[in-house]
Amino acid sequence: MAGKSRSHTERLARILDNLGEHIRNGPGDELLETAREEGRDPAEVNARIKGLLRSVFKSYQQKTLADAKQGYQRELASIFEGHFHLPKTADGRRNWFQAVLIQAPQLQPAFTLQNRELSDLSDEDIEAHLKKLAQLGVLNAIRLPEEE
Amino acid sequence: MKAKPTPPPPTRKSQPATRGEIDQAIKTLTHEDTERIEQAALNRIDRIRRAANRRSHEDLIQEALTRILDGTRHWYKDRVSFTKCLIGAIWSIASEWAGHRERNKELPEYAWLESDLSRTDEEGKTVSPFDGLQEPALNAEEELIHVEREAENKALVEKIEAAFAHDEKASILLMGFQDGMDGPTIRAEFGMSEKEFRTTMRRIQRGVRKMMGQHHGR
Repeated sequence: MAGKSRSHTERLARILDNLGEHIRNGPGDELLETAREEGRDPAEVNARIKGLLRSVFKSYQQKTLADAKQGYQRELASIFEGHFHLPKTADGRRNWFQAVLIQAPQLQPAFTLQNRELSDLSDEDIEAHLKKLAQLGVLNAIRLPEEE
Repeated sequence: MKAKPTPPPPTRKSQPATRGEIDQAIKTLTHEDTERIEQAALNRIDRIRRAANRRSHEDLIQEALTRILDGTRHWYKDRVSFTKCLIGAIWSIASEWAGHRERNKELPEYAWLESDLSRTDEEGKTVSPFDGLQEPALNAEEELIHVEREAENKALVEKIEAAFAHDEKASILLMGFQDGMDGPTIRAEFGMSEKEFRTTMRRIQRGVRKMMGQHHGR
């Protein structure tokens, strides 16, 4: 087994790689035997490694959840703040709302049939309704009148 | 001539395991599984040593699971056990860390290594082994690192060989490994039984781990 000259770095690497392969594929009961011979307790290793993996799993779940929540909040904020500029005047907003009710009459019950006519709705009610409609994407589907 | 029967095509395409399945696999890991994971991670840290950049074998295990969870790596539960998949990730990450160090010796996170290898010249100035590393050719500093590493590894190899000098079977295996042979080839060439091979590997495993542990101050 004279072989060609190899560096000691390579020699050490080969020894460790072969030991590593044996760990990967060797019989499990022998691994446990080796552990006991080295004075390690397989039950302690089991509890520690499982605990480690479960804590990684839990942290990952929490991070994913936090990311999703943050994404949802960003989306909501962009709907409310960025994408829809409602008319500046109360009359302009009322005209928009009227356009919605005319072009999507199926929505009328949701807004005006609570024993109230459109004229009974306050400016604040109309603004709040328009924001909801924007959030639901309804305003994208409506031909809205130009603001005067 | 009769045609060779072809295996039936798979009925459905393999899907990566869900997070719920991964969670379940963690919960049901046996003592053998966790021992294999721990020993595999320790082995890889010993293998890459300084390139681990002070990260432990537990950091390696954590990173491996994170990559399976975030989909960088997949576990196909109908093809391989969770333990084998995790160990595959451990090997791959360790190789990546070793490669990263080779490519980024000048980065701050390797500063501890620099301080380890720094020396004082005749005028009392500290000379960093990484000075001028941006030059593409192997320069004096790279050569210094190479020489230092080679000297350190030579000492380790000699220590391992000396520890098994009176163990004929272990010496045969160690020489064979260093020469590029694998276990089955050495067994075949030297007429070693499976049982002899396995018990000898256990002796080597114990001895090498002890030496590497002492070397790392574990």
